[in-house]
Amino acid sequence: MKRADTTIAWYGALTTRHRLMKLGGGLLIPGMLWLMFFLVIPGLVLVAVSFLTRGAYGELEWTFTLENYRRLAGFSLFGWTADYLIILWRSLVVAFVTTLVSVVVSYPLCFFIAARPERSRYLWLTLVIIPFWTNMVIRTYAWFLILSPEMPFARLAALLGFIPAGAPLYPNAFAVYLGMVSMFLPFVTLPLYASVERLDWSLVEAAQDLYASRTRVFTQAILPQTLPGLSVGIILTFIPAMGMFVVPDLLGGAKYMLVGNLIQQQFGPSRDWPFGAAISMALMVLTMVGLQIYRRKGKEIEVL
Amino acid sequence: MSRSPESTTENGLAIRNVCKRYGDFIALEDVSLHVAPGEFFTLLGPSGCGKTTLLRIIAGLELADSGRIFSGGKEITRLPAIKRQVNTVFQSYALFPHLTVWENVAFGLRSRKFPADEIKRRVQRRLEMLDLGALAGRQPHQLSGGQKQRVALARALVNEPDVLLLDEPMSALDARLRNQVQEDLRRLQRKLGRTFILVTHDQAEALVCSDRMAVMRDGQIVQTGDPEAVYDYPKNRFVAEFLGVANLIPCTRVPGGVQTAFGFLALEQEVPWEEGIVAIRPEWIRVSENPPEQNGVRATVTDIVYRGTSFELWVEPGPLRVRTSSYRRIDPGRQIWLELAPGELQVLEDETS
Repeated sequence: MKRADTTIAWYGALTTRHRLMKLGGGLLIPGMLWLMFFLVIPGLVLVAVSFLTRGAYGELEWTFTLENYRRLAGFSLFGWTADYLIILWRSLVVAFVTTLVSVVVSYPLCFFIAARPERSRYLWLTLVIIPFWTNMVIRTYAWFLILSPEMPFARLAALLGFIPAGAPLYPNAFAVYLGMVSMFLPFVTLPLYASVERLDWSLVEAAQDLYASRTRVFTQAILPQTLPGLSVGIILTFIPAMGMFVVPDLLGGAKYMLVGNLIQQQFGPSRDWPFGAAISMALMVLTMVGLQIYRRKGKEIEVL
Repeated sequence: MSRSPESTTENGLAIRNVCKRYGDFIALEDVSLHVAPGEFFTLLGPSGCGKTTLLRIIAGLELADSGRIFSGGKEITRLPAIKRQVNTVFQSYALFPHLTVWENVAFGLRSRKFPADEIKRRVQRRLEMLDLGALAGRQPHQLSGGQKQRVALARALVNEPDVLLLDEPMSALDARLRNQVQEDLRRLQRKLGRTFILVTHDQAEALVCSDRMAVMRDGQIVQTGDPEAVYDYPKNRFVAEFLGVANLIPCTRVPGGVQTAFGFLALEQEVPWEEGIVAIRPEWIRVSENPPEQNGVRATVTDIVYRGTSFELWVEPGPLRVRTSSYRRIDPGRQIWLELAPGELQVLEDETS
């Protein structure tokens, strides 16, 4: 005889273990299928493609090779060049700086919003989100207008001798950073705000009561409390910033290429899918390394 | 604003005419008091009476709108918290969750950049004094409520403050532990000889702990004195009812005493009004079978409540609650004599008309 399944209470409902598992499994299926078809399988295809050879017309040839990775490391027919590695390094730096600037700007912004009367807080938060209502490409083009030679910013820069008179403030690294930070700021501000709004101010007062300097109040009373929101913000910014190609493409020009542009180029104009796949793999590994370093550093900060 | 010259030469903590409002709400209205060095002083009052605001003003976490504060003869009215020799035990304890017990206690000394061995010595001493030695390496979330409270105490006391402020430090503890902690706190204060200022809404706590206390209401100090004086001689109806239980007897003035619903009562005190209230604590009413010599009231027991250490009788006539010693159970319906001795009747300020 089949063993009788015992009845259990589950959040007020009476059910059996077996039925609960069946229900859970059923609810998981759509998500699992989605991940399977749109993440796991394409990911595996990408791994496979990165070891294939590009045919004469950009088609895939099924011959195994490590050439794509060798090329990324800088080895080519004409000897060794650091070009690709520089692009990877630059992407890492841009993502890091973008994240850092977004965090540094977000903290005062969050405290400012949290200090508003309750009703106007949502207005301020909406102002932070409004740029998202516009398409990313259009938003980036808007910087062309703002940074154009006729606008005060370019004029001021020319006056100070940073750029020749009558030149726009793009394409250059500065414009890329400007575009990137404005793109990613809300990704840090919103989760950080959630932490700042819930801040237990009695810890801040306790720190002050115990003679803490401003720095100490921040590192001991504010930072540990806002770490959850900060972590989410950092991850939400750093990962997409690593692969961003629209902003550097439009505001950075050919001289400020990031890995996102490089990948897009391989899958687009160059029709070199295997090389593109190899760069994508490198980007993924690099991002994971970056996050790993952050996690370890994050723990250190926590016990500082 | 008074600028009496003696205020600057006084020792201890002096508060002179402090006012504080939040918008239309008056949190403190012209509050003045003096706490002697080494005194255990309690601010007692219901929530919203301004006691916590006053504490925060002393701590430097809040600024008074007007008035002045002196500590040890020096004016500290406008000093920020980090410059005051005053430390606080917060109601929520506000322990740093990412730091261990040891690090929490060392926080203030580290902020002030004490040498490492000095910090070690002082922290060790405080931890031992408060019986926390074994918990030094724990995180706050691994502690019980009572332990957290002791860590908060150690963290404040390690800085050897002129004044220790305690903001309802027992409100998070269960009743049994609270009694124990009240006694411990009093003993600790005696031993250290430092000034403690305790804020509480618990009258029993105030009576147990304090050398002196101030009863507050609506941003003002109603009555100041040692616990016995305040309990035995409440100034008005608010104090009488807030501290313990009181029988309030409406009456009118007659020569030699007052006339009540159940007859004449002789009084020792002067009666300042025509119509008003006299009060008597339930435990001060004597119950007997025979009529007493003075101020006897014939009454019928209507209800009896067992309180463990005593019985409580409800009697008629009048809204009188009587406490008897524990061995005397008197069945409802019995006729008894009550003695409201003239020396036990307290004339309250409140007029009724």
